[in-house]
Amino acid sequence: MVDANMPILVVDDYSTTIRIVHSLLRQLGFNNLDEASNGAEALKKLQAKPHGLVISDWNMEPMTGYELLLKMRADANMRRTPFIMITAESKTENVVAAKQAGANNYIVKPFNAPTLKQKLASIFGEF
Amino acid sequence: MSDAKGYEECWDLATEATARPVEVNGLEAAVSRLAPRALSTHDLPSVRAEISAARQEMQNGIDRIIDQVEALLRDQDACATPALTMARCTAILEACAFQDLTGQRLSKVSTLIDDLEPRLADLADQSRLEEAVAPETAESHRRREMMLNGPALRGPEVTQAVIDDLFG
Repeated sequence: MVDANMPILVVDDYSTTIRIVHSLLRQLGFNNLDEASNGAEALKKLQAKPHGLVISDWNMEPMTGYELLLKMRADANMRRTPFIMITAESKTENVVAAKQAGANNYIVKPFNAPTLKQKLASIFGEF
Repeated sequence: MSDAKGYEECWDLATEATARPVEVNGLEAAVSRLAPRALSTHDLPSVRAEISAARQEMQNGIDRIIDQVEALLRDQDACATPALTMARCTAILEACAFQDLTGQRLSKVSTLIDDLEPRLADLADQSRLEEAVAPETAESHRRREMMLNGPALRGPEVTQAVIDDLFG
């Protein structure tokens, strides 16, 4: 059973996307929601406090979501933290690179609520 | 060689050297039509300002819409009155007006591009110079290294279904 109180970090440089994802997560029952506007800010938050899930955009400055993923997978404390990439990057090279780097799932923008729910279920089981 | 003949030859050489070939005249005219000074001091800064304003209007509009949607979702729990729901829906409709304003701003940008394109083509036709390949900047290097391509013009290149298969 997934813990509805686990901290979830949503990383995107567009506040609109963070608000949309937060709203969808709240509808799914999650209520401990955190945010960061780029990979560097996210990494600081992850180092300060463990999170149960990271949902991140790819295209951000100064640190991309892909770099964040690589750094998380190289860190023993974050190696197993589930990571979902939500991005407009839809080239094969991006999807393959994310998979090889250890992303648990990949959602291409624009996305809808059922898709997000389905990816969460694939990581945490049905809820 | 007589002085007169020498003078004549020198005159011819000087005339040839200072004559303005037709190509140069054409190039000058093309540069003039391009109006680079007006472009750099007025047109391009105006376009940048329009894009910036459009971004801000979009952000404001979307923020107002999300505010109301989040309130509607909260109202569900609080058993809101139909009048309050109606007021929130009206506010969402009003906020959608940003699309009209941003559309007009983007039209201005399109107009400049439409206007600029033939002037640049004219200049390219007049110029016989071989075009230099722009060196890779630090920014473009990073974008290539980090696979930062941005959204594809005609929707995702790889569909969600294909991605799902890959992630199994």
